[in-house]
Amino acid sequence: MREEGEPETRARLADAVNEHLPSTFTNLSTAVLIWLFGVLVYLPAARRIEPIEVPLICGLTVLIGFSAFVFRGFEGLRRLLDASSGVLAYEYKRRREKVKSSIEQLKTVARCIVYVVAVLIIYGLYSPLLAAIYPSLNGLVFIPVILWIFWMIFKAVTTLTAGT
Amino acid sequence: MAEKKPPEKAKVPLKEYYEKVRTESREALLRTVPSIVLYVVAAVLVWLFGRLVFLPIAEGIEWYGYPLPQILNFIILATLAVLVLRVLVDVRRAVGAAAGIAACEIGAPYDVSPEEVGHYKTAFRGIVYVIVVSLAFMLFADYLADIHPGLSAVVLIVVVVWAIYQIWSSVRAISEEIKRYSSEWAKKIR
Repeated sequence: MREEGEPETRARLADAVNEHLPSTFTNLSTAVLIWLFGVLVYLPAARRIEPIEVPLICGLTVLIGFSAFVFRGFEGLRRLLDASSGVLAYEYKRRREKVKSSIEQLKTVARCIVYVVAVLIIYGLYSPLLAAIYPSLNGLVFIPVILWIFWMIFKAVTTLTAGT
Repeated sequence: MAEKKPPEKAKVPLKEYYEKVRTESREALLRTVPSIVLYVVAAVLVWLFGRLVFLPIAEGIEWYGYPLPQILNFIILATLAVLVLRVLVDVRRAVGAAAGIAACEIGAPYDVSPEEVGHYKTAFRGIVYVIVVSLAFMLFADYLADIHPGLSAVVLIVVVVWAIYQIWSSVRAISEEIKRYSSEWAKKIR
């Protein structure tokens, strides 16, 4: 397969921004606003009314609304992250002349890092909503997330070592 | 070539519209904010007096066989509802003014269209309504719980569902602006 050059990578990011950023930004900003109001306003208000059942119903409602918009924006976010990891790899290569790894390897590593950061942010947002439903649920979701992060780090390290 | 340069005539109404929106918005904001503050202070005072003075005094007293705290609860709730509705009317005006200022600040100088101001108005109105209704719920919550413990919870769930819909409508309202800024950003990346 022919290696994608920097102009092509930048054009791909520009296309992704043009095509996916508006809908992704709309959906994710809606999700963030729902999270802000839900977690910082409505869940404490629910806990004040009654400590178990009202926060559960309130948390579930906010979780459904939040998840709906996260899923709607997910495909666009994935494409944007993929495209931006390519540009990040080229930027890194340009700034560090001594790097021996190929641009494809750097792209894979950048994609792993970007994905790990995105998943950690999404988990951080889900965490209080899951804890409101049941405290153990939060931990139960965290275990696969951590395993997936380890797998991504492993993938990044093996990609880098394969080139040396 | 002539198509690329906008005609000089088109710029004048835009500049006039920009100045008009800016000055009218500022004046409207200055007019409505004191009224909002006044009604909010009144609502808080009613809440405080009701919760800390009148309801404790009325505890255990009956009026023609009806428990007085319940009657007082109802009266205070009705008063708070009137005050909150009054605040909402003023907030509607203030939000329109704030959206006008925001459109002028965010858009490049003299690059503000009536549609853009309308979009910002819808977005601002939605978010401010959610904040005002949440604050109003905090005022009502204890009184509603005194009438029936479940009432407060039911109202909260209704507020949460309404807030989710309102937030979605607000963000959707500025999607055209987001699209415009995204395409400008995409041009810079290339």
